[in-house]
Amino acid sequence: MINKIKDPLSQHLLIFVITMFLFTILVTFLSEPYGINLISTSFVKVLGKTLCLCIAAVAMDVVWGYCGILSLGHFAFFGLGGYMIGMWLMYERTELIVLNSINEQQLPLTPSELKEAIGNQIFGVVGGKEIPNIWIFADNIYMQLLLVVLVPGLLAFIFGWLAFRSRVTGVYLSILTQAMTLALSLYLFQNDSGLRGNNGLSGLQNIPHIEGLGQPSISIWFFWFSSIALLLTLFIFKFILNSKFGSVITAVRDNETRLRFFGYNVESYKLFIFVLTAIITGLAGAIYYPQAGIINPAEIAPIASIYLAVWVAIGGRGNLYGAILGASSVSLLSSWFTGGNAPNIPLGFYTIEWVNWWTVFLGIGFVLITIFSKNGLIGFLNNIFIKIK
Amino acid sequence: MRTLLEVDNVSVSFDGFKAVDNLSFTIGYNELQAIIGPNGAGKTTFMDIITGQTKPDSGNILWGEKSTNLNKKNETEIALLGIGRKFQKPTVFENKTLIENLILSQKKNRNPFNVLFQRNSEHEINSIIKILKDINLFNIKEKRAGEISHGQKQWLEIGMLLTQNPKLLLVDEPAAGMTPNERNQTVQILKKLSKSSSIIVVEHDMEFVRNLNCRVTVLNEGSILSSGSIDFVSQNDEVIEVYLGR
Repeated sequence: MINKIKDPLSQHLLIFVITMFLFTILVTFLSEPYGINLISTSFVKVLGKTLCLCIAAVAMDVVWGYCGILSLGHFAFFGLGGYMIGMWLMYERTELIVLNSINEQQLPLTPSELKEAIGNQIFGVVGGKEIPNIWIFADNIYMQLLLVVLVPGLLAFIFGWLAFRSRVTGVYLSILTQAMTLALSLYLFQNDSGLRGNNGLSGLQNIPHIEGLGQPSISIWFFWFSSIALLLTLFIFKFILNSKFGSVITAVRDNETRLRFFGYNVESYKLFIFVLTAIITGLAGAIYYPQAGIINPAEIAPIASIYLAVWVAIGGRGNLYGAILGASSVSLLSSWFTGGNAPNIPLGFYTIEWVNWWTVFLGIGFVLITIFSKNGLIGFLNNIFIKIK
Repeated sequence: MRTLLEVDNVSVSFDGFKAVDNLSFTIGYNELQAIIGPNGAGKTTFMDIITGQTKPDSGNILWGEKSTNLNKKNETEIALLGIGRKFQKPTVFENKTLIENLILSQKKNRNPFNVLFQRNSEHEINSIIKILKDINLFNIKEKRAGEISHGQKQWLEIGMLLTQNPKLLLVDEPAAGMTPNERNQTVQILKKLSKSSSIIVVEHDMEFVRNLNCRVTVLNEGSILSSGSIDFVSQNDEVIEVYLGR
């Protein structure tokens, strides 16, 4: 009885798993390669990407909604995860292309010649052909996958250790995280950052060795992968939040001074959550960008991390399903409105073009939701559900 | 009676003002004592000295069987020796149930990696249940701490101290803001708890202290005016003058 710290929503996990399962089957059934070809490959990719954004939102909810750290820099970790996997994708594919073109000439290349050819291909666009040192593991997928975890994790660890140790909290911490993601983004914009400056990494949708399967199949695979990743993320966080650890981190949020008097080292709990959510966000990025096909420094501009917080706030803080609801609805609506699909509204004297007006619409929605529903969309739905009952 | 804590000729002054002046005080194992006195009498400073928040200028504080000197120990070390302090204003975690509050305060490993997989043994569950019963909150154990009354929060706060298995409890104005009924229950709770640990109660309320039926020490301007049973001290002329007769 006492060992089980009850979560009022834990019974919802099963419902969510079943829903996700049915949703995945439905999409597969409607897809081109494995079904009746009712939805396009690009839409499958949109759905897959949305699931990855949901993972990032769930992580954001844990760090903000449960632990009370309003990090406005978590998208930096998302981008870093994308860059790390992108390096392998780009390097491996370029290597294959170079080797193929050589095959036609039937002239064997020395390793250094091969490296130079690859360097030329990848870095010609920023006026170089030397492969930077940070690409040292780019030909090894296992090392690069390890970096997907290590790079965001290490950045979060160093940043968090410095910030939490100095007891930086509240809005000051938020500003600091914004500065972090801005600095990283500005650094990556430089041509000599070693990651192709503002060109970023591209062609990531072409997965080396399995390109022959074609984009329709690959996109479905990635969609499955994203949906499994979202479920795993939920399981991990549910386990943590339902343990005593979860009780401690919500206590950090509610009154960290009091918790210190009990002898808890609040900083190490914050650091643990900050690093763990950064790693998971980075992994989500590593699944996202092969579906997006391109990553560039603009992706980790400060606004991206603010959007992440907005999704969580709209969906409902302190509720993982709220984060999923917020992230999926807002990002799907966003891609509908800005993708040119939404009909413009001619008012005679002025035409409302959604591409420009969508953010205004989102802003109004955000204000309305914060005013009328303290717990976001999920709280609103809960209230309706209770009334019907 | 064996002595648990001995405060020996302790003085503290702040910028020349003598907050505590040559004060001596002893409490035995499983003994309940009350300290009363007007505002500025040095009650809070007295508690601060015991818990290490304030260091005495002179005198010694001796603890336990081995008469450990507490003067050189810091707050955390003193807390770990088994001295728990309840502050005036209850600060419980309002979003958590009473049980969750008690689990949080439990004396266990605080390392995050350990906490992640921490479960409670049968024995620990029983001790939490016992505490809940001791503080009269067992029936509402699943309620959130934000939903209970002020008096109940005070008891919960005491319960959270008890999870640390303190040998000595310092309780600052436990009856403040309580209803008469809650005051009576608080008296019962404190009496019950004094069977297994020593308790020093600091209180303004004369009636409450009378009901505790224990040794009372009256402080004024940093030193002891009188000490003994409530009937004894309330007949002391000086006490009547500075405190009761106002």
